[in-house]
Amino acid sequence: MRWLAERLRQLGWMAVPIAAYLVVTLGLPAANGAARSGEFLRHAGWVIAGCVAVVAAWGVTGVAAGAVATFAARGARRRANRRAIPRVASAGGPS
Amino acid sequence: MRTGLRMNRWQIAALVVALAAVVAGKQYYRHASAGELGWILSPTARMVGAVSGGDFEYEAGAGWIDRDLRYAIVPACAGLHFALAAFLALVLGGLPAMCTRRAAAGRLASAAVLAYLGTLVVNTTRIAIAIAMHRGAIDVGGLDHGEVHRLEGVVVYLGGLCALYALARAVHTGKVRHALAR
Repeated sequence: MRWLAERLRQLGWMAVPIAAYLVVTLGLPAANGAARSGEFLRHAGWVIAGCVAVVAAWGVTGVAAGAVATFAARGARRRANRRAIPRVASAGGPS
Repeated sequence: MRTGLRMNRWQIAALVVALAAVVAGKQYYRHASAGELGWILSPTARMVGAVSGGDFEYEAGAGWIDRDLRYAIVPACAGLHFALAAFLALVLGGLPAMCTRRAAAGRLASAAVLAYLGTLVVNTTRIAIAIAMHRGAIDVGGLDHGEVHRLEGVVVYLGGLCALYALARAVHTGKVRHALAR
């Protein structure tokens, strides 16, 4: 749950563009009296579905990018460690 | 008592200007003809033609039409809702930096320019995808084409809006870091 909360916190910046989009596409038409029509409700459903899809896609992309970066960093660390540890057999063995 | 939402007069003025521009833009868009929207539809039609290989020609009263593709770019395709949302989002995102009259005016102007350019790019992408679906290049299966076109519009617009906002944020953060490093 903490992981999910952290992910959602990282996506917090998306609130601004999504809020701006909702104001223009739903808020102003609703204020002009469009909210009473069935077509508007249908449109609102598509807009909300689109918001959920975009946030989910952005979140999944972020998780995938984070996983790749963590994996790459671990690999680089392991390679660096291997290079740093001297080979005991070759250093102390008979020449 | 201190609150986190304390704004100076330039920030309030910028917010009022942005909201007024959005309301005025909505009213303008409601009654605008294809010819009146030429400032945004004409470059969009040219860019869509370049991307999708079409040749859109202006027809008075209708919009930009490609008879071979059997596709028309009409006032509803202008993307003005995206432009207004982008302008509002960029102004809201830039509010913390609007501490002086000059900064507020500069931010408002750059938000308007970025919103216009972003609209051309994102709307071209949306229409090019719609043309590909219209041609059958993108298979939508048994789904209703009208509904898919609508969802595609929302997803491309919102994705584009988030990308534009993230880009502006990254540029601003980079500038702040650069200024602090000096």
